[in-house]
Amino acid sequence: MSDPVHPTEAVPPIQIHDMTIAYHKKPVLWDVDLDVPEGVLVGIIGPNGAGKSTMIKAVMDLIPKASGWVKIYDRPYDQMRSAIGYVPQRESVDWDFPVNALDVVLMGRYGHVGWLRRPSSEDRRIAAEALEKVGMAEFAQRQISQLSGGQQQRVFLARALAQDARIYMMDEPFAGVDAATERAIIDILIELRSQGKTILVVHHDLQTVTAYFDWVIMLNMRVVAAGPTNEVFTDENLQKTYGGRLTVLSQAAQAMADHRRGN
Amino acid sequence: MLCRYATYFFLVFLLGCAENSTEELDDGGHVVVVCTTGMVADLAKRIGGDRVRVMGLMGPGVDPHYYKASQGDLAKLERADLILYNGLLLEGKMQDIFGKMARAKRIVAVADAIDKSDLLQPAELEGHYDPHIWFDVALWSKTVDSVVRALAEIDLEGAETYQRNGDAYREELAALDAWVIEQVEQIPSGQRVLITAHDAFGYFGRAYGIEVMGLQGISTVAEYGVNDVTGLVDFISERKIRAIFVESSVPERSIEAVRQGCLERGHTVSIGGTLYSDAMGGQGSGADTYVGMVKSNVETVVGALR
Repeated sequence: MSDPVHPTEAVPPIQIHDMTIAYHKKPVLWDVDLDVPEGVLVGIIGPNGAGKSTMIKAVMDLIPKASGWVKIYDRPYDQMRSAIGYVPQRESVDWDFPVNALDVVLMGRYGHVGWLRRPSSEDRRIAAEALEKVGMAEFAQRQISQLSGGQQQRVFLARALAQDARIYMMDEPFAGVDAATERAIIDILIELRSQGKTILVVHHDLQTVTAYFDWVIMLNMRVVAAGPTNEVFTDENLQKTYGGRLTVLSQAAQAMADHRRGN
Repeated sequence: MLCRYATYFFLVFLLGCAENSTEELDDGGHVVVVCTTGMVADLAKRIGGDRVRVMGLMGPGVDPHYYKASQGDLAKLERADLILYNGLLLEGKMQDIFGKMARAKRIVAVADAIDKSDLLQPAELEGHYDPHIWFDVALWSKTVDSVVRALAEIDLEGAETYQRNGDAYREELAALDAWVIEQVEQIPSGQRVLITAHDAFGYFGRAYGIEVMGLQGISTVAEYGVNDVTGLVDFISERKIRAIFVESSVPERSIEAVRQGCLERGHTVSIGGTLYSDAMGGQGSGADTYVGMVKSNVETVVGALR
């Protein structure tokens, strides 16, 4: 396989052109213009209110664009819905109807809406396999609301896997999960990347950026920098992204130094 | 002198305008959202959370096809920062009011969020779309984003909250959809027939693989005729359908006529229980939320046909 971090001729999975997002004429994300190459694990970082979630939602047409366009494998999102798996930011689940872990994963197999949805035995097999992958097979029949936050997060990851998308977008998948779950999630993201999938992750913890992501998008209401992590995740760009928040920055610098030593 | 007063009043007038145009939030900082049906009001409550004050116009058991706005409703509509309604002509008699108010108010029909190609156009409606979009849970969940957008545009500071609440609700609805699919699987496939006096279940039938037979046309406005009853009695008796259903917004006598007809042919069909159709249940019924209403209906249908 060619070097995915420096692509050459292939059609990029995500092209964002001159995209501005505004609420009631007040822009919250300015003029985003970038291509995400195939087969990379992308971290989207930036301070609170920088527009990280807004960006991935706008890519999926969940938020209207004031200007600009997005293409998924050179086509409008409308035609490519099923190519994108989305794992939203998770609140703890407390549903008033008894859904077990396997049902939740099966949700990933109902590709479209409006017409008859019924799981085939093939769907059930794929769902069970996905649960196995995230280490939750033994909880298949367990009610989702009886699982811990980390276990729930793994089940939702399994659902995304069952969807068999080409692009995954995840909004802070590591927020509030235990270390074992974080490890399990990152292992799966790495495996997905090795299958040529493209993964975008809204991420908060600057200390793990260099370890987890080979590509990074640094946002603060506009794109400060985007590209391979070892090229753009620099002190200077961090300074521009986070402004004067030195504690955050020195932590990140320390983490980067540690990481370099580790290599 | 007169001129100075005039300038003064003019300035006050301008200030007044400026204040209105910032869309200041009424009711102790809450965004006031007025909704027609209970299902739409529930959407607004779940997505708006603490930031909004939701006022519903149509209470439990009210038929939206017939509903006419009262004087009190007009006052509520006047106060609203945002008006949400179902659309697709569900609120038949309210349409004109919304048309008139649209110039001055932000008014959103949640059904507009759904792609026309996903809608049903039953023959009885002569080209119009079936407005009962809420009983296909996945289809209804497509309306979530339009409410998120509408609220965020009025209350930018709350945009992230609305997004988060919308995501959580969309997730819950996706899980509810999966639950419904699993429940319906428990009915033997030959028995997946839902007979009701109200044709509010077209999308439900399509999504979950249930044959739906109605006694009346799509709207309770249309009267049912003798031929409809005879045809239905034949069908039920021949297929040995075990239960038929009565809903909260339809007179029970129309169902009773069918039951009697079947008895005359030696087939006992039981009343499967009350389904919620155009309106949610009252407080304490367990069906006073959208999720509760769907859950109640599915339990009733599956329990009677299984």
